[in-house]
Amino acid sequence: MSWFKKESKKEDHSLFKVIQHFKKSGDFIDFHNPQSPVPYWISYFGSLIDVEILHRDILPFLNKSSIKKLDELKAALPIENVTVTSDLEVIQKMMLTGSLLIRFTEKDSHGVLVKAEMNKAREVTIPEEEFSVVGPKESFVESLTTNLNLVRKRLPIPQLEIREFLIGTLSQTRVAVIYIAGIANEENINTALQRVGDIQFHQILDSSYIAQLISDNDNSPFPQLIDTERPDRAVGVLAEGSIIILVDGSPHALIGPTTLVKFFSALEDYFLNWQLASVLRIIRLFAVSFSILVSPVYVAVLNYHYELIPKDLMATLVSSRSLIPLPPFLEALVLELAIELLREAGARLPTKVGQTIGIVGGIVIGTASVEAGLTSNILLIIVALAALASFTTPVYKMSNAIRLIRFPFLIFAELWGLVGIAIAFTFLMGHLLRLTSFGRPYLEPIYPPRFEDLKDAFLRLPFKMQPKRPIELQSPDTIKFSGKAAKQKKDIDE
Amino acid sequence: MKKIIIAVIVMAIVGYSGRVDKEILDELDVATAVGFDYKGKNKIETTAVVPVINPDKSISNKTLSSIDNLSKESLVNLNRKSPKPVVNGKIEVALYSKKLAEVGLQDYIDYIHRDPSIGTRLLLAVVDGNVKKLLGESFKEYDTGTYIQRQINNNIKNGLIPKNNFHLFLSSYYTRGMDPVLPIIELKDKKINVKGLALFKGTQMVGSLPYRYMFVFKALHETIKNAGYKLRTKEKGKTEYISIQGLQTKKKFHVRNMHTTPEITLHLKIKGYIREYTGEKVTAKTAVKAEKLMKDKVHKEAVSMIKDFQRSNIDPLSFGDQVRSRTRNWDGKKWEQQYKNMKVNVKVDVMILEIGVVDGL
Repeated sequence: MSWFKKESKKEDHSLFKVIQHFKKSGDFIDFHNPQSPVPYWISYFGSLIDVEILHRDILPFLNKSSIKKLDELKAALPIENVTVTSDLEVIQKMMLTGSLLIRFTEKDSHGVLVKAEMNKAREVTIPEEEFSVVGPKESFVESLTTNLNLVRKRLPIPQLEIREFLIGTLSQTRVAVIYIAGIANEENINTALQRVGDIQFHQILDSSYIAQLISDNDNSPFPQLIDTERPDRAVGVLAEGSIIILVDGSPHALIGPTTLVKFFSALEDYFLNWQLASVLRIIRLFAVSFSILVSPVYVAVLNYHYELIPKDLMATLVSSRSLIPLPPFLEALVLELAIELLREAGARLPTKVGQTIGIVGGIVIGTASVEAGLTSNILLIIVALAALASFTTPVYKMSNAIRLIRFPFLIFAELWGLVGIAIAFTFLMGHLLRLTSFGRPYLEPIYPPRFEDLKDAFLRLPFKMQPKRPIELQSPDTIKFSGKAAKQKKDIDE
Repeated sequence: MKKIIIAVIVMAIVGYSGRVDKEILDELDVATAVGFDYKGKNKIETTAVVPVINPDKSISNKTLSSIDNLSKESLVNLNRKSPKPVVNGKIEVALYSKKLAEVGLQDYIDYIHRDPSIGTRLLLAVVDGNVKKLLGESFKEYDTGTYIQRQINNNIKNGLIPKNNFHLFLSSYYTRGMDPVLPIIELKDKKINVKGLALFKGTQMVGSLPYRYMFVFKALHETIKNAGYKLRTKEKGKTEYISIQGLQTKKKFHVRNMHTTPEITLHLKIKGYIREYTGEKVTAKTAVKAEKLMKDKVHKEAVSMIKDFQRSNIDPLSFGDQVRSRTRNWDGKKWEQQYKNMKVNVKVDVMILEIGVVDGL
């Protein structure tokens, strides 16, 4: 609000002037009622105020003759957020965030600020990005208050702490850092609070702004904080000792610290029985490696390692490629880019048009390019499968990262074949090993190797076998529940 | 920033100059079989079969040949006659003409051994006749190389060719007290026919074994999982045939007196069932008779075969290796003298397990 301060410094610094300035805005209402027992001036931004609160809870009290002073009014109003002040800065700030100002004389330097914020938020709906067949179907919305409610009602404990910040010199966005005291690691909490508190930015439109501003390495293609739209997932990790960050105006919560493997676990894994969940996780991890490696391996093998091709496959490969003018690398690149184009076009267009794009892309371009002899049908299958596999990742940002790192792999495969893929993999591993999330190792159950955490990484072993909180989060309270007691209880039932 | 610049420079240099030669699959002539014919002293004719895969997935064959002194040299020379580079990473079979095998394969195996792109699962075979002509023949389903490889493999798995590939050939060549064998094939009525076994002393072919002895040879050489055998018998003055199928064999070596005069006893156990009989009725008696017949016949063949091997001083059944593996400080030279006159006993057990789903035993 520095732009405002400078202006007011030059001018005569009074409440009246402030009101006069506000009046330049079309939605500002400065209303005087001389007929009431005590005449009053009431001023507010019509676009920020819930008129119902004004009519129901404020105006009736103003028309009472018994109230003559601001303090009396404050006591009478059935609203909790009422302040009597002459501090211009507070008045400006409050009026701009949904308070109305009541004065009894026009040039009064004091006024009563009454919070009557209009809370127009989307209804809590079914999660779209992280939909699950089983389990709760609530998702976060754009209103922080609603989101906090969704979290709070799932964790009715006094230890749940919510620390709020106002971030963005222009947007003044409310950002809440939430954790359970005594379960979340002190160091992690301090890291999160300090990083969020230190943000210097003019405008926060979404939680992904925060994610980018506080991530450990912002040059990495890998997201270092999970973003979720599911309150149940957020609460689930809170109980393990993670910290979540909610941003007003964003339906996504950020979760940290986190590890690479957690990006491939869907919340549904915890709702299904452990055998099925483990199989699904393995499928997902297989899909990821498949998605990254399959087209580079195609390029490498066709370019350098014809010996590796089984001889029964050779006829199929050669006959599908014999009319294609492009070398394997360009062929793969063209197809990969085509798929990316389709995805981008589908994502930017409204759903109904998007479907048409899918049909045009999938059937028309795919079949036609094979028939025209521009791409081989085997590669078409490979690339389409790889694209499909990349979408199995439950976290959208991670699936984007996976599609991106395929391209360097392709280039290395073109340069040095399978050796190149090994080199690219080494670079990738080096990067992942260096990466941290809130200062905690990103590749955790693999390196540093922690056997306990592997129980909920590539597999999801039964709950009974996981009585401890993940080591990665360094929770001071390591025991989730007594594993022994859980077993004993079963014995008695028998 | 400095780091990034250095990284970019290194990448550029390595990426520009550190490149491997590309071998794009569809721009190669991938040979699937090579053959070598003897063309006078120190001269061979190399023939390579290259399948030509057409866009409609049909396969036709192309043979390239050149006459040179060295096998690798001639393979390089084949490139001159081809629009695409001929590569040898997918060679399935290497064929040698009988004459070349009799001269010795040493020089022609060396290059296969050295080339890292050629796998040791490569099949070797000796061809009775002209190799170039055999490789020039085209077989419908597969290209020639794959066809020969499939046929030999099928004969190894379900037939009577002893398990054989380049690795095993080298192994029996380098192992002391062991000599390699290779199958002999020929072109007969536009089909490939397994004719017998070529017996080697080192890399030189010194003799051959006709097809009819191959059952006994394979039984003594390794275990048979599934094979057939035909017996001839006389019943009531008529010649009848018994077919025994599903033969499974097991052999065991017993070596005695290994330090002085070794004596080897070979136990051969054969199990099988009667599947066909031209006579009237298969009874328990027939089975017993068949057992005895087979026992005698196998024993006779085995003994005479081993005698033959001893006479020509070759050891394809790896008796030497058997003795060596049981003797500390084995003396190869002493063994060579002992081998010729060594006593080898053969004991055969035949068991007919069943006679099929007609009238029981």
